[in-house]
Amino acid sequence: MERYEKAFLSACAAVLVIFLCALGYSSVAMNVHLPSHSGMIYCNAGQKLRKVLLKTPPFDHTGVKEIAPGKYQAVVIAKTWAFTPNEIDLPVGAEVKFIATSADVTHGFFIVGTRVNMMLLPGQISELDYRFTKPGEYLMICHEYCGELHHTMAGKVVVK
Amino acid sequence: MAAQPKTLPADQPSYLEGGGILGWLTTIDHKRVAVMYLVSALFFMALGGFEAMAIRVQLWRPDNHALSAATYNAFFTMHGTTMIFLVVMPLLLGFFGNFLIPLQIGARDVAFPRLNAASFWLALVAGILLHLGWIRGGLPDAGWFGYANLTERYFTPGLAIDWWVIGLLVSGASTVLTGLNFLTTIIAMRAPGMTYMRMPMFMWSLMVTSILILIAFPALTIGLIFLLFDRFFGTHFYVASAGATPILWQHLFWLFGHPEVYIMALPAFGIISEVIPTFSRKPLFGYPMMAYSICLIAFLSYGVWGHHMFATGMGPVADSAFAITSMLIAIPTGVKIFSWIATVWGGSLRMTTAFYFALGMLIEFTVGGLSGIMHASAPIDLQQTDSYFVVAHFHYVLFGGVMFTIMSAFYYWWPKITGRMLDERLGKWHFWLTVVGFNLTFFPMHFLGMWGMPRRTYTYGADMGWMRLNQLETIGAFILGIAFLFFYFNLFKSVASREQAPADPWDGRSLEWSTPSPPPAYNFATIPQIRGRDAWWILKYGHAGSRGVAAYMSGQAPSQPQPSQPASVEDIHMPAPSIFPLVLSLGVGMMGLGLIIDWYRIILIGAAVAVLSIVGMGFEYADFGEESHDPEHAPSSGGVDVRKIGMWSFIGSECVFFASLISTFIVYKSRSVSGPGPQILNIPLTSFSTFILLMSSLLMVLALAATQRGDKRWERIWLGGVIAFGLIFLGGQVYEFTSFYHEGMGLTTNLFSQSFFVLVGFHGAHVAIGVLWLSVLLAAAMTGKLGQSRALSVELAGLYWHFVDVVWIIIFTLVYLMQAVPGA
Repeated sequence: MERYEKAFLSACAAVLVIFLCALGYSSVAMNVHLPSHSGMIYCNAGQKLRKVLLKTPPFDHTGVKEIAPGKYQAVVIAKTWAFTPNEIDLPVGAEVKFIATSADVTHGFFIVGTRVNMMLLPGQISELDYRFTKPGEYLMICHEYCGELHHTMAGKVVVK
Repeated sequence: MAAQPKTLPADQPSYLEGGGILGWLTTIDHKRVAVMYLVSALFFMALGGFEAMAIRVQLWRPDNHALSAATYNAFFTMHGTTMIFLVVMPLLLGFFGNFLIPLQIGARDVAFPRLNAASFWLALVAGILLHLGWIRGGLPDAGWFGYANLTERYFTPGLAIDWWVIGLLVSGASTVLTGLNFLTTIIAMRAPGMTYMRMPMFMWSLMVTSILILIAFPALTIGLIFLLFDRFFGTHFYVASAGATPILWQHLFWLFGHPEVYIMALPAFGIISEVIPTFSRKPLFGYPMMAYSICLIAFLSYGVWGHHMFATGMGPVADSAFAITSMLIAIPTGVKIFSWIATVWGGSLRMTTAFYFALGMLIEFTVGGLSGIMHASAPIDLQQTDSYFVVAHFHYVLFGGVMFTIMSAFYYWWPKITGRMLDERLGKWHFWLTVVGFNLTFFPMHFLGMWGMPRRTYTYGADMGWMRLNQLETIGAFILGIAFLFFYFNLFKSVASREQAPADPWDGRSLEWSTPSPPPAYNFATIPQIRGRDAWWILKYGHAGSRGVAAYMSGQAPSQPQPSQPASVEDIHMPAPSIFPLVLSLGVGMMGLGLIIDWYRIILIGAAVAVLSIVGMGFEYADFGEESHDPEHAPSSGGVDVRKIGMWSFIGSECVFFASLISTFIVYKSRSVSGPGPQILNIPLTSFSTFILLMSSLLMVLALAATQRGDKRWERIWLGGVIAFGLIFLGGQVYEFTSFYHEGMGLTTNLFSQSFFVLVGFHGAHVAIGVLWLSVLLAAAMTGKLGQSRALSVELAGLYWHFVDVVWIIIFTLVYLMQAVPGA
């Protein structure tokens, strides 16, 4: 093997190791986690998903709730073509757990400028933790094409 | 071929001459088929480009209403579908692949010329079906990857999605046939001496691409079949309230969809690996590594589909696995980029338009590749999923990587294909306008994506601050449009000109340059003997020349070997033209049309037409045979008949088909919300029919043995036995299905019943086709047409039959027996 070749291979290996370390660091030290699905919503025969949803906790009470000091949960239902609730108000620095699902077709749930990005699938509950450290108004959009008025499906997160 | 070259009249007709319209409609010449692919792809490229510009016009300013929301949605759906299925793949595989495979490996045609023509006509029918929404029902409008469950009839009524489903199914069938054909051709039809490691890199890439097609497309087919059943027959494969999950579509689609990216990219890599050495006057750097990296990319591409789904919540284990495989795939891709650069390094460069585009590709594709690596990292991907950043990324890959390559290939091979040069000055204009337009259009998308602009958005608010960059992009799109006008004009001007292109205008390295431009119908008068890589270069300059630029630089003039001259044209028999590929595709098109517009008579007529034309092709085959199967012309197959290689390829593809069906069954069997479950299965009865089916395999072996030793009596008896056993099995299945129906389990009852019926039903259809096939063989045996010399026909049917039996063993075990085990 030539010297250059060896150097090149080592550089490749180093890049790979750096990538993997960065991944590990972000998940362990920075507590960056991917959205995960925490459960499914099952219907009985003949039931409509959106009706079942209204009776399934926590989706029977959508919106923001303080579950512990400084810890909030935001329950969101995406429906063609709006989020319920369409505005989420949070204090700065609060740790919030988004719990969301879709009542009809596959939707997206993306808060611009953050890593809050979940695909909302009907029948599946998606969860993600996030802490808003900067006050401001964040755009909350559906970015998974969901039909004719998809572009109107947006809300906001207000952090004060 | 021992025929001695002798001088013949110089005006040997090229493949383009003669035949008239009917000649083109009935052609099975790979070069004419390629040209037909070209014409249809150029048309659809203009259409898809128009859609892209309309999209950019709509996004010119906030709250714009240049298009209606419905039109906009239809346009971005059809732009993606058209460009991928009707432009890029037909150009890379149908046009360049078809034209160049036989020419580069030293063959006279592909392995199955009639099948090849059928592939084209099916592709055309698919293109037409996809666009019939213009006339009735509206254009498809659910995005090119049509995420379920938006595509369900409940959410998207009307015909639009129906056209899309049927069109893509037909297109998929066409592509799989092409893949099967190409794979067989490259394995079996290489000229003597052309070992795998001497093949042009384009052939390597097409061989691996064909394998990818065979294993990737069945997943899409299954996803579409489920959707078709949901839309037409009321099943619930993607309906959440029935217990199903729409994520099944995403898994099936991306299991196809990511390999699909490489189905488009690998041929492009191959083409670049042809263009760069030619214009650098150096052999390809690191040939073995280039070949292996193609294989490695293909292998890895089958395991990275999850990176399209990081946002769906697959869980940390799946996410990490997909993140790592997605990063790994960057390594072989990097190997390729560095090898190309190393090929250019120190070369004696000729800056032709083809080379400009090749260098452009290296740069633009690297940008797309880098943003691809970002997506591999799941946390970063989360900020990009479904944003405009993704649009930027895949346009850098598909336009910057693939379209630049296609343009390079046009300038490179056009003289060979048409016998006319393309204008270099117009070409340079075309190139620079493309570079400027392309980067102006797509680079700002990276920023817009990070600022939150989602893809597929009809319009945006004025307060978002996205207007300036969007306007820049629209300007860029129009510059790109002008570039394409230059391209089309250049093509037109070249075809209209009378100036004859030389046979070898670029001082090429591979065999196609040894033929006249354009080549005669039979390609090579004498099948060339291959002595090394860069076969034509070696013929011209000897082995020393292939070592590098040295020979050229030392002033050693090319010895100007004659392009291969016809030996004696009368000795060369090409397969006879056939109208049946066209008729077959019309039949298939009628079936699709009838299903969509709910006119069952058309379905029946279409089915009859399709079946009759298959029978017709069979008769033609029996009468003429396919001369390209002459063992003399297929010296690389190691004694294995091409049809057998084709059959094995088909079986490989079918494995994925059934694997997708079986996995869906396993996921869905216990998720029904009501109705009967697996306990309804009648295991004693099915054990009996399983036994019968296994025995039929034994009879099949006996039938083949009888045919091979020429025993006509037992040949008929055993064949009849196989058919009888197959019929008993089918009868058992019909009984089973009807009894389930009477017990209250129909197709649409619940998830268990629909997965069961679709899986077992498709297997049953395979058995039925086998029975039909064997009946034809039996009829041939009865009339004494079979016999020892045609034992291969029995062997092929046998291969298929055994495969169907093996699948049944798996189905019987997983579907039936597992239910008998308590707790399973």
